[in-house]
Amino acid sequence: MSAGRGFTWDFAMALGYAGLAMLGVQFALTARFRRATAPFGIDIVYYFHRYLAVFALAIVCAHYAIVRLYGPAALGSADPRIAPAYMTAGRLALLLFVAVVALALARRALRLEYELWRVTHAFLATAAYALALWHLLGAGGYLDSLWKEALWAGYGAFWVVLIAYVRLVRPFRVARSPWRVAAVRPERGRVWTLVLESPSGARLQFAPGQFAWLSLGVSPFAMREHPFSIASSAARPERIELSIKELGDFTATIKDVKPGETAWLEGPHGTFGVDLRPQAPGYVFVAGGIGIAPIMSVLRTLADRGERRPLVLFYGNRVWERVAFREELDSLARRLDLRIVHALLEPPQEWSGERGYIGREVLERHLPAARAQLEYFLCGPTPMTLAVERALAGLGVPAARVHSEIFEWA
Amino acid sequence: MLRQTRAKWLALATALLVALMAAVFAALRNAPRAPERAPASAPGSDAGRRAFEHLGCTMCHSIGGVGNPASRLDGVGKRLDRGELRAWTTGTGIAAERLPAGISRRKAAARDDPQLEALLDYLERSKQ
Repeated sequence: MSAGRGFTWDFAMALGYAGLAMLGVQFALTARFRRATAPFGIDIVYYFHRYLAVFALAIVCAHYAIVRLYGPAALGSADPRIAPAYMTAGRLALLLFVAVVALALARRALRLEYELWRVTHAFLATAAYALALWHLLGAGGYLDSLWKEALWAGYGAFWVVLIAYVRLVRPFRVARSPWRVAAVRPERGRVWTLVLESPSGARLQFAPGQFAWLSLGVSPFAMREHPFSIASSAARPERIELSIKELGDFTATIKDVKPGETAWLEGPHGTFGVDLRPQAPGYVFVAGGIGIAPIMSVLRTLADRGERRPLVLFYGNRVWERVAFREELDSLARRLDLRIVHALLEPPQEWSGERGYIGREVLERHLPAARAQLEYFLCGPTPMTLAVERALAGLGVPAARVHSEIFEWA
Repeated sequence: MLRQTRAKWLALATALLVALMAAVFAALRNAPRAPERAPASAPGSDAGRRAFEHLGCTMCHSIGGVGNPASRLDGVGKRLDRGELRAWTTGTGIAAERLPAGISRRKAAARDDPQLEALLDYLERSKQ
């Protein structure tokens, strides 16, 4: 079939094939292959996954819309009792893809529980992909040779194998090296620190600032993992601490965890942290609330390494009584060349420190003159991150020296 | 947030590139191309046209402006004799070798359909 069938028709068909190919890649993007995601940072990979889904869906919708407008006869009857099965499969796939994307984007607005959503998301996406592949192989007007059919069947099979690996083989590996909850330590500000030790003496080698996916109580096969920053020192890979604030369904249960319970860690992931910027003359950290967790890991690690370079920490909170780790930060300041700038939204009467949000004035008052040479690490609520990024740009700090960790993903 | 913005533009660029590639593919397959002919009128046979629609031919083909314009069969009766028409309609003989396997499978359904002969009459009569 070398002859064209009109630009519009061929274009619409090509969009169908291309859209499905793009949606296949989606499975690989969230497979969390450490070696593949490390150069970019897994956060950007997840964002790419989210935006690519929207654009790939647009391409698949265009495939349908063009056929609908240009040659509605090609669609035949929508009645599944009359329509060929592969056409019904295509229609169902389109509806499912729309549902998958809509649910993902509206999850927060719908107050959909994260764990339920995650299982639904994986299941619906896989079903939609399988149906779409059926549609493609059934309609298959362009698969005019065995090798082309085999190529697409193989492409589909590849994702099946990948899903099996991610959902079965890797959880199996994670399950083989369990961790034990050694303690659950209360911190200020409704933060709980989960202290994990490995009974088998396993270690989690990580760079300070990285995070891991935690499964608690249930097995790692249950798809009930949650990503958390590691807060402990990278110099102690045999004892991992995760500091978790009560924010959602899962985080509210951390305080009820008992020592001795089993936990699993999958990681480390992430590109946030000083180890990727070893040459800087000094580091600046900006934390908002529990955004302090990965920065605690960095500071504890730097202290253990005997770091001598000057460090500044801007730490924003609502009230003084709920400033997590404030006593330990004071002792870290004695071991490091560390200046701590607390900023409080609701300061006590006698407060002489900074008030309000961390903005341009606060940064300017405390940053050294050579601020453009320093590396900046931001972790906190999104509005804080955005505001500080803008303020730093205004102060002449190159964007390439400003690194943000985002903990509101989905 | 810089990273989030970067991811967004990267995804958009990917989608645009893919759409562009689809357009190039379609353009290459269709160039150079004779100007689109206006659809010829359908040969006068209601039974034949009903068979053409009933057997699902319209999903891929059109005659007299009825059906999918991507593949027009106007004048097919001038190019093919009844034997060849039967082969292409049912995915047998010479057509079985030249059609994609998936299409042959779909066409096989027409082999035992009582409306097949009416369809072949209709195609045979499509001379312009």
